[in-house]
Order: sequence, then structure tokens, then C-alpha cells
Amino acid sequence: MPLPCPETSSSRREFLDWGTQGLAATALATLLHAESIAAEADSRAAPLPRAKRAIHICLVGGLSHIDSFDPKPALERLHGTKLTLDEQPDIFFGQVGLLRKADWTFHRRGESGLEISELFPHIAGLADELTILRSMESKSANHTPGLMLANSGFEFIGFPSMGSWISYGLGVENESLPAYVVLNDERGPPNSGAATWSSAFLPSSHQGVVLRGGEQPVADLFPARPIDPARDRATREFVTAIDRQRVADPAVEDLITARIKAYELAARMQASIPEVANLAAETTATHAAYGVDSPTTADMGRRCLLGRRLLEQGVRFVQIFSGGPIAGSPRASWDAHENVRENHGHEAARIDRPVAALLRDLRQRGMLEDTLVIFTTEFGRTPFTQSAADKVGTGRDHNRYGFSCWLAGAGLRPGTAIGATDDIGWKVVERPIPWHDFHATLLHLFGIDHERLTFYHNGIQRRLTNVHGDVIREALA
Amino acid sequence: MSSSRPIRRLQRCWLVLAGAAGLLLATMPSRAETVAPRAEDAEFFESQVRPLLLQHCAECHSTAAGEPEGGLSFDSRADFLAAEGVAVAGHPDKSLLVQVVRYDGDLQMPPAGKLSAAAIGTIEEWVRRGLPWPDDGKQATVATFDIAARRAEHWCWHPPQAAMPPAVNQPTWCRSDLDRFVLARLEAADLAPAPEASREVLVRRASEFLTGLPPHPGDVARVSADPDPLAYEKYVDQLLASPHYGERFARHWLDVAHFCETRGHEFDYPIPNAWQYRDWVVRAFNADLPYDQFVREQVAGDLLDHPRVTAAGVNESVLGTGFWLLGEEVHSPVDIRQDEADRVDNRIDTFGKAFLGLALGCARCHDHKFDAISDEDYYAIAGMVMSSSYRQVPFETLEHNRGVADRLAEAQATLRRSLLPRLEGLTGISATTEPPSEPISGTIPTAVETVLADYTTDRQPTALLCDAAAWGVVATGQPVVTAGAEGAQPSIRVEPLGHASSAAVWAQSRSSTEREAGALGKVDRAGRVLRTPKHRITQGVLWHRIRGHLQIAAIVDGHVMFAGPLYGPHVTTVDTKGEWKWIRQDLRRDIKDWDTGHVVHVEYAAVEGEARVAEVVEALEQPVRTDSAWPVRMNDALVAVDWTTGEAAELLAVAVRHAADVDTIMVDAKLVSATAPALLDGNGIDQFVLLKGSAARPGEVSPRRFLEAIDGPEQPPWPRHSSGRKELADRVLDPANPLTSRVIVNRIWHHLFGRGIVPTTDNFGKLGEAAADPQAQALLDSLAVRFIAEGWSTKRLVREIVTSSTWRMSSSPTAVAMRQDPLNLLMHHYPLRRLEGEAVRDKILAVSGRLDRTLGGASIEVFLNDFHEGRGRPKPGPLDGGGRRSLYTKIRRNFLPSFLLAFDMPTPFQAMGRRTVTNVPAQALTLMNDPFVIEQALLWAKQTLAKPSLSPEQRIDRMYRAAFARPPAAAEQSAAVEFLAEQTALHGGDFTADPRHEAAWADLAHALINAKEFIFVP
Repeated sequence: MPLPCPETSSSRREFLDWGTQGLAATALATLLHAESIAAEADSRAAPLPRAKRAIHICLVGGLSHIDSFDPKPALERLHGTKLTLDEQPDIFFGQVGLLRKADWTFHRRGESGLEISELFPHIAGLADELTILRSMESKSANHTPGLMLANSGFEFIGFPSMGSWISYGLGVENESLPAYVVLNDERGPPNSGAATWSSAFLPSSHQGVVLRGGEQPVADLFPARPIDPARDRATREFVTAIDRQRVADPAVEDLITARIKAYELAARMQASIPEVANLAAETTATHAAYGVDSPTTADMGRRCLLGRRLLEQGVRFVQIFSGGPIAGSPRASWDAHENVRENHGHEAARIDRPVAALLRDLRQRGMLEDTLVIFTTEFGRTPFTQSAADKVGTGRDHNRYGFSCWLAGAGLRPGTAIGATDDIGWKVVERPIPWHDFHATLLHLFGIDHERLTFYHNGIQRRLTNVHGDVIREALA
Repeated sequence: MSSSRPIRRLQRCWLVLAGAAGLLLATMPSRAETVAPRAEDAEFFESQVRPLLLQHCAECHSTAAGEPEGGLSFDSRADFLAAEGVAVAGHPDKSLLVQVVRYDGDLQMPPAGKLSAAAIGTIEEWVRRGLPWPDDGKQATVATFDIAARRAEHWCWHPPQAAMPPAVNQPTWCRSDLDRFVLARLEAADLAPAPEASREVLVRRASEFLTGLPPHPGDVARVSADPDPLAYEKYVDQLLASPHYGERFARHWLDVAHFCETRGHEFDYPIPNAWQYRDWVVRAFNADLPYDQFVREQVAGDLLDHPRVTAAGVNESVLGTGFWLLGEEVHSPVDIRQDEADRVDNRIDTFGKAFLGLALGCARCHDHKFDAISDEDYYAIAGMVMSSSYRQVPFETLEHNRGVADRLAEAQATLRRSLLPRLEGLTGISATTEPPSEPISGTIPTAVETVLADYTTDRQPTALLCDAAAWGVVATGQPVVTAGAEGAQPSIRVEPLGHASSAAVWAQSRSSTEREAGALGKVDRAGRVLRTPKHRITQGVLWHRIRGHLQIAAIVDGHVMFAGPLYGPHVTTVDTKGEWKWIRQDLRRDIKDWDTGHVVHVEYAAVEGEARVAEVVEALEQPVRTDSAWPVRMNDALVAVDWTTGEAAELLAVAVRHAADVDTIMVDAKLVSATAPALLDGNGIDQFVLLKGSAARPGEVSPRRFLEAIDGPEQPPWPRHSSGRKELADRVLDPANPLTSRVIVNRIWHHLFGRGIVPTTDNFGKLGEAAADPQAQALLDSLAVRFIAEGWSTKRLVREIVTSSTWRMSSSPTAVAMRQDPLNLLMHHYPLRRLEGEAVRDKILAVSGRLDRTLGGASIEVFLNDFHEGRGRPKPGPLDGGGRRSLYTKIRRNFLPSFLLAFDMPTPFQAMGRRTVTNVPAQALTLMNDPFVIEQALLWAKQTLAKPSLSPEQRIDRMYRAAFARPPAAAEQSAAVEFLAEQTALHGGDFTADPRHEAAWADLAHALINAKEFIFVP
């Protein structure tokens, strides 16, 4: 959290990092936030908080922006021609084939007239809610570093993901649920697994908690063997009794109270998690809207619906992955090296209806006012095909120089597109948005100045945005 | 140098841009008007230019925003002028400022988006008019990076001084000097130290913190009852002599080294045999290897004149260099050069934090923002890191086989010396009168060839670098016995071409342990590798002049993780069928920007039979060589010789005897060895400063040297033939180095008290947290000075601390002390501390009786539950980890053990000398519900019930002693009995009739594991 200055705050910081009160860390963090705002009121005003929670649709692989959210009519004309490059592009396989037009037709949508292709017909129906960022840029054209950059701002394992930062910055709303919940694709998690939602050096209470179906939705939520509740309760009571017995001096009382509280909280989770995960509580109509009843959309539909339920119950950050492990055949992610039409067609069909239903549902419940919907990809895809230099192939390679993500909900200017790539969608030409700017903007919407949400780790004040980041003002309402 | 730094940095940008644009402006001075501008120019500046600068540039280029980016500030005319090289008055096209706003090169400003054409026009016009800027009378305010000033103002750069222990009012409390420092601070604050803890508590504390295991209940009873006043000291000595001491302190060090056994990224490939480094650390602590040697072997254990070799001939020292090889590695990195920069960065960062307590990594993109560390310092060390390469060293046979190789080389030289003159006599052909051929033939311009290595003795022989001892140099004209065709008489020939050779026997070398993953692992390379020096090359086509069946690996920018779709052509296997051949290797498929230069070395490994390498050259066309003619002529003449009579027969006899001798020598070769990750030294590389840390933007070369703040700006040149790591170790361990001894002493203090005297154990810089007061600083310094004086013994230091009165204080503070110093900064009591995840798990195994105390060896696969998913998921290991200590659970980057993670085990990414300690519901859930805990609780119950004759009270007593190192109080005893009775009833039994109901006792065991006292040490 923001700290007035290293010299004066050392003891408090020390207390935060080193003390045994992990439970209290978020609350203290919130406290410190308010405190430092007061201390620095004259220098910089903290942004007004607009969002209270977020849901992140995280595409694994690279979504072709020129086939989805970034129309390039020039490609129609240039289809089959050669793109002359003055330098070797940093793509993946390095094959530069001929230019290829989009495989889906774009249309103007809604009152805003935002152009979105037929790849996402349902999401397109909500164009007026979207703030499309058409000038995203990444530092890496490799999958795992690309995914890490989108999540933590760093290309390596070992830095907290944005969900962890937001959990750390805002604290928990409902202590009997984790602040940050991860819902993986049924085909598996991304290659980097738990490192993707790691809290790294932040206290472990801020790490993403994977929620699954079945009898053990969270690891170790219930005893490994069926156990009579009365016995379980008796054991807990006995443990508390042992602990209380040893309270000889006041110095350790806080510690023991905190520990007992942790045990109580753990017990409450046993009730609240199955309850929130129970989708049967929703109507048939809702199930149908999310596509839970159709085989293609069932997986994403269930997770989007569960995501909404978690947000309602006070979870801060829900992360839903679209796509499983990279590589392998057939591909289980947005990695259309061989054939964009087939791959993207297949992947989009899985998520288009559920994501649109989520947006509509949030809007209808009035939650879009203070809920942020985040839709990201690792990078875009090239306007030329991944093929021999004289061929129009069917697949496209990674493009880190320009791609599209979108946001919707709290505090955003809806129905707009920000930034631009060049005529063919190869590189950004207007308002480049590196991930640091993207993250700075998210934190801003949560009322957090990204330069002041820091964690003192091993002698360095760490930030989600490292030493960079500018809020994308154009995106704000 | 300080005042010129921002300017130099700008010039670096300048050079890059100039290069890209094909201009030669690097040295052109910039000039703004020195006379007052004309009124209309001043008006133009104020009305059009200044608003532009304010709106688009001042956010970063102003002192108002902290240190202006790149040392360029638009705050005042003086500031702007101070940054030379930004613009050339009157010449927009030659001005960096104009280029960057036009987005013409790498450097594009403002970064948020290109200015409008009109605004760019204004800037151009301003430059054209000669940069008019009315003098506002302000002085330049740009803060400059000044190493000397920074060094002077921060304590960590000043050498520690041993201070006299202060006088105290209660000298009898003090057992050692360190107690006097602590007591003096307390007395000054009018506080009393907490009373001494009971023997019972001390035994538990010492055992858990020195070995990471609970004390044996018998030891607790024995030491507590021992009338000897030194009983506790004796127990400490017993613990220090226990092998578990080394395991405990090794785990601390492994946090610093971010020990890990896989490479992470997408497929989590293994770092083969990384556990050998882990065991090396354990052995080092157990043997009390002096800390200076401990550091030296990690930095440069492969380069020592006198490595530690065990009685069995095992080279221990080389294993230390595994330290550098525990990072992430990406397979198929798209930007191979940036990937190296990132890998090197992690190594430098770890090196700096581990040994020096400095965040060197912060100087990667720019001079350190706060500390006396420049980006030149960073890249000077980067060169040393880049100069070395990765290998799997056959450390068991290395020393022995060096002896074999030496004898072989000696025998060859002797033979050549004695035989060649006589062969000259025999044939009349002189081996010396003909000069060697020109180094490189004249038919191809020399500029297009880069010789990476040349082992032909006729030219400039390249030093042999190999992972073991398999390769030697065979000189041109070396006599050899040629067996004739079936039944024919053998005869003598001479080698026509000098080369590096690996005898056929060596191709049978193999690793008894884990092999490399990916393409390199297709050949068992252990003990077979020859490595060329590294060169920066620009064409991407290699030619290997070789003979035999070899694996060829072109290592570009240090990339060795060959798997996945990219860089397949870099590793290839070739069999020349007994002929000398030039083999072409084209590296241009996946790397297209060869013209910008990549650093390359080649590794050869024999697949089978004798392997020979004469030369490796980078060239687009096959190199043309004119070899010495005399060996061919001599061989022609030797064909005609009758080998059955006279001198020829004598010579043949000598040669045949020699061949037999060689066979005898080679019989001694040891071909099977365990291998381990280690560094292989190479030629020195001086790295460029990379602007903003980007590999695509090289600036000036920063020659290898040690930190300027410690060793000054003038340092003796670093060796060209070697990486210079040996010299680096010397500098780190120089008694005048103010950091090394303080950092380790502080780490040990931290491990024993839960908090360092300097709390930020890995950062002694400005952003770290200094010692609480001068007295605490004096304590640290005194310990550090004495640490060196007394031979860098870590065990001695540990013993001094844990036998001090300070360490023996009880963990119950007085209310007064808590009010006055709630954070215990003055150390008025011993802090109550939670065990780390490893110690919690080990303790559960210890009390349940499942603990297998075996030391060392290959890791036990990590247990995986359904929540562990991802690529490279291994076959899961056993739930209880085979009963082994947590230290031996395999650390897979992408599949970290969930039990340990819940208890704050750090992610193995960066040096982590100080773990966070949290208390979260996940820990409660783990201890309550994890199948491991439940299984162990049942085992503990079974063990407790094993003896039929004991009463329930006796059993409870045993359990309490095992868990808490104390007997239960009467109330606890009865509560436990009551609990057992209730649980037995819930299980459908009757405690009176069946006082040994296993499930009920398992519930009690489970409850005790969950008690706070189990994981908190008083």
C-alpha cells in the first residue's frame, strides 16, 4: 500500500510484513490507504473509486483482432499481396506469407456504430456497452510470457497478478469467500498453471483460489475422509480449548485470537463456498441465457454464471480462462497458427453467448455500474498468413505489435474504440497501450493510484505497473 | 565522471539512432544560442514551443517528476543546455530531438503517441531557428548520478568497524559481547531483559531452529534434569554436530539461491540433477565450510587452483557453481537475445542480493535510483555471467580423468619428440623447413570469415575448453601407427592436420544420473563435450571441419533449452564416415537479424568412436584452407618404407609400444559418473550497456570489473582468457569489501531471531531498512569483523548466538516492555515464532514416527492433488513424500507443493532471505483437512497405541512431550481424557471399555497438530 515515505513508516511496514497477522494485512492495507491519502492530500488526489469488483475473461493464445474487433477494409483490397517489411518481425514461427482479409464480415453495431465482426454476434449485440482498446501492445510474442504480462505486468513467474493486487488493495468484502477466484477452462488451465494467479510476494491470502466442481471445490476445503460433523466440531473446540489454555501473557493474545479467527473463517468457508457454487439455485431461463444447456457453451456458460454469483457474494476478482494448455492437437486455445477460420470459429462459439449473457445479466441487475468486465488476449495475430512467402495460407502467427482488448462497466466510456493500428492491423499507430497503461487504468477505476499501490518487498517498493503506466484517460466516462 | 553522466547516456541513444539512420553524428556537438534570442524568436519560443514542451515532455523531463528521464529536463534553459547531444542548432534533420518526435527510430517521444504534424513542425522550426530560449537566469537543477557522493552518504559502503562492547550495569547477565550490546540498549531504555527461558523451552527452541526438527523427548528430559551448568551448551554442540543442522541451514540458503529443479515456462523441463547443488549446500553447512570458501565455490568453483577433492576423488568445489543455473529457461524464445538478457539479469540480481545484499538488478535499465550502483557496474558483471556456459559436469570422475588426459598428452608429446626427427631422417622430408600455410587463404576476403575456434597447430591454436578431460590437441605431424589391411604389416604415418581429438574410449562416457531434456539430451553428453570460445558473429552460417560421429550444438546467446518449434537447426548430429569434412550449419531459419550480431559458441560431443574437430568458422561460403604440405609428402614417402628391417623396424617398435602404452593409460579412464549442473568457463566477454535494459538497444561497452563504489573507478583489467569469475570471487571476499561479512552475519542473526539486525536481509541499500540504532549497527559490525578474523566459521557464530543470554530470554515479555517497545526492536524478549512450512511438515512426520532421516539424494516427486494442473505435470509422488524431510521434495517451478505454499514457501524466482509469515484460513484448512495431516495423525495414534501396557494418561503424556517438548498440565491431561472419551463415543465406542480406540486417538493427534503450540516455538 502507499506509504508516506520509507523512513517514517518503517515500523508500520515492518509490522505489516513481518507480523503474524496475515489476516489483518488487507484491512490494514485499506487503513493505510486512507491514511496516506490524508497525508498526501495536497500532492495528488486519489481517483474516485468507480469499480468495486471485476470479472476477467482471459483468452489463452492470441485473438486475431483483425477478425474480431479491429476492422481493416484495406485488407480486402490487399488480400493476396505481399507486405514489405523493413525489418525482421518478432513473430513466432517467422514465416511471412501474403496478406489475408478477415474471415468474418464486420458490421456497425448499436447506436455507437462500433464495428465488430460476425465472429462474436452476441457480444456484438452489446457493442454500446464496450470500450474497445484497439492499440494494445505487448513486450513478448511467446505465450507464457505474454500471458504473464497481461496478468502481472512482468513476463516472468514471481510477480503478483492483478487480481492479487486488487485483493491486496481493497481487501475482502466477504471474509468467508476468497477475494480472488479462478475458474479454469474444462480443457485445463493455461500452461503456467498456478503461477498465473499467484500472489507471489504479496501475502498468500491474496492468491487466486481455484474453484472447481465436485465435492472438493477448493483444495482442502473439507476433510480428506468423510468425517462426522460432530467429531469435526469437537476437534475444533478442543483445539481452541488447548490454545486458550496457554494464553499466559497478553503479548500472545492477539496472535491466538487471530489464529482462532482463521479457524472460524475456514469453517465458514465450508458453508459459503458450496452455497455460492450451487447453480441449481438459478432459473431455467438464466441457464438457457448463459448457454448452460448447450454442449458447446455449457462450460463457459456455467463459469460465467458462477462468476456472477461470486461477484454478488462479495468476491473482488473473478478470473475466467478461455482456452486451456497451449500446443497439442487439436488446439485447445486461441492459437490459430494453422487455420483461423476453424480455430477461432470453434473457440468463439464456446464463449460468445455466455459472455454476452454475463454482460446483460450484470446490466439488468444494476451491477454493471460498479463491476468491471475485462476481456483480454495475450497478443493479436498477423495480417499476413503463416505460410510460404508466395501463399495466402489459412493460419496467422502471433502479433505483439498491435491487438485488441475490451473493457465494460464501471466508470468507462461505453460504445467507444480507443487507439488504432495501421491500415492492415500490423502495428499500432495511435495511442499505444502497453500492459502497464492497461493495468494503471484498471486500478484507477478501483480508485487506486497505480503509483501508490505498492508493496515493500525485500528493499524494493513493488508495483503492478513496475515503474511505468499511464491511465488511459480517453477510456474513462 | 559524475557531472558528465546524463550526457553520456544521451550520447548512447544518439549512437544507436545515428547507426540506424546511417548518419555519423555521434561526436557532433549540439549548440543552442548563447546570445539572447531576437524578440520574435523569443516570442515564438514562449508562445509555441514552451507550451508544447510543457504539455508533452515535462511530465517525464522535469525535476518536478523526480529524476528527469535520461537526464534531460525542459525546466529551464540551463537544464536543457546541460543535456548535450539533444539537438543540433539549425539542423533539424541532424537533431535527435526531431528524430524522436518524428518517430523515426527506436526512441520515440512522447511515448503516449505521436505529436500532430503541426507540433512536429514547430519543433523543427525551433531547431532551425537555432533553439532560441530566453535566459531565465535559472541554474541547472538536474540531479546527477554521483557514485562517490552516494557512497559517502550511505552506511553500507563504509567498512565495518569493531567497536568495544559497551559498559553495562548488569555485567553478570552477559555471557558474551553480543549480550553487552543488547543489554546496553535495554538499560538505556530502562527496560530489563526477559528472564531466562526454562531448559525445556531452550531445548525445544534450539532443536527446532538449529535442525528444523523437534527435540527427542529423551533429550528434553535429560538436559532439563542435568545438574551440569553447561548442559545446554553441550546440547547445542550435539545439535551442531547433527547432520540435520546442515539440512536446516541449507534450506535457508536455498531460499536465497531460489533453488528449483525445473525451468518453468510452458513445459517445466527439468534442470537435471539440480539436487546435487542442494546436497552440496547441506554438506557445506555440516562441514562448517568456511563461508569465504562457500562463496568462492559458488561464484567460481570451477576455476579454483586447488579445488576440494574428496578421498574418493570427487570434485566438490565445482558443484557450487550450480548456484547460477537455477533460474527459469524459456524454450523457443522468440527474441533470443532479450531472453539471454533476462536470464542474465536474474543471475546478477540473485548474485547481488545473496552475497552483497544489493539490488544490482535495479541498475539494469538505468543507474540505480538510490544506491551507488551504475548501469556500467551492472553490465560489467553481466559480461562475466555471459562469458560462462552451462554444462553437466561429471564431477565424480573429473579429477581422475584429468590425470589420465595429462598422461596421454605427455605420452603423445614424447612420441612426437622422439620419432619425428627420425622420420625426417628416414624420409628426407623436413617437418620444419616448410613454413606453415597462411592462416586464411587469399581467395576469399578475410572479412567475411570469423574463426570461432582453430585447433590446428599450424595457426593460432585455441585453448581447449571441455566439460571433463576427454579432449586433447593432436599436433600436425603427430606419428601414428596404422594397422595394415588384413594381416599386412602395420606402419607409421603422420597426422596431416592438427586438431582437437577425443579418443574413442571417451565416447563411452555416460551419466549415471538424470540426462538433459530436449534435443541436447539425445546424446549422453556427460564427459564428452568440447566447447569453443564465444564470438559475436553476424552472418549465421557455421562451417565445422570435423571427422567422426558428433553432435554439434550451436549455442546462440546462451540459449540451451532446445525443445519446441524454434531453433531445431542449432543442434544436429553428423557422421563423416571417417573422412575430414566441412559441415555447413545454417542458423538463419529462426534468427533473421544476424546482421545485428549474436554471441555464439559451439559444443561438440562424440556420439561414438574417435571425434576430431579442426576448425569452426562462420562464413557464407565454404572456407578454403591450404594445409601444410609436408605431412602429406612425408606420408607418401612412408608408404615406400620397409617396416620390417633396420631403423624403420625400430621406429615401428617404438610406435607400437607407444600405442600399447596409450591403451594402458586409457584403461584407467573412468567412464561413468554422476553429473550436476555447473558452469564451464570461457573467454571473457565485455557486454554493452543495454539502453533501458533492451537487448535491441546496445550502448557503450562496459568492460568487466567489480563495483566502482567498492573498488573505485580504476581497476586492473579483467583477464581476457577467462570470464573473470575467479577475480569476482576475490573482490567479493576481499576483507575490505564492506558488505559480504555483514550480509551473512545478518542472515544468521535473522534465522536465529526471526528478524535481522538489518531487517531487509537482501537489501542493504538505501531502500533497505537500516539497523534500528547505532548500537545495533555496532553490534552487527563487531560480529562481522570478528566473523572474518575467526575464519568465516558459520557454526562458531551460530553457537555464539544460541548460547548467549540474549537468545536464552523467555518469549514472555513484561507488560511494561510491550508498552514501550511493542515491536521488540530492542530485543527485550525472545520472539514467539511460527515454524516455516517445511518445519511444520517435518515435525508432523517426526511425531507420527514416519520420518525417514536419510540424508540427501535425488528428490522425491511432489505430491499432486487435483488442483495441480498444467503442462509438464509429472507423475505424482507419494502423499507423505516417502517420509523424507521437506527439503527433499522435488521443487518443480510450475508444481510447487501446496502444503508448503500455504505456509509461505517462497516462489523460486528471486533471492528471498526473509520469508513472509502469514496466518490465513488456508493454513487452518490445510492442518484441519489435508489428507497428509489426517494420514499422519492416524499413524501417530497407531504409534502411541502400539504398546499395550500404557495408561491413557501415559500415552497423552508422551504425545504432549513429542509435540510441545513438555508434559501436559493436569488440566490439559484431564481435558484430553475427556476429549478421548467423547470422541470414542462419537465413533460408537466406549472409552472405559476400549481406551485404545484408534480413531479417537487419531482425533487427539489431529487436534494436537492443530494447536498453536505445535507450530509456534516459544
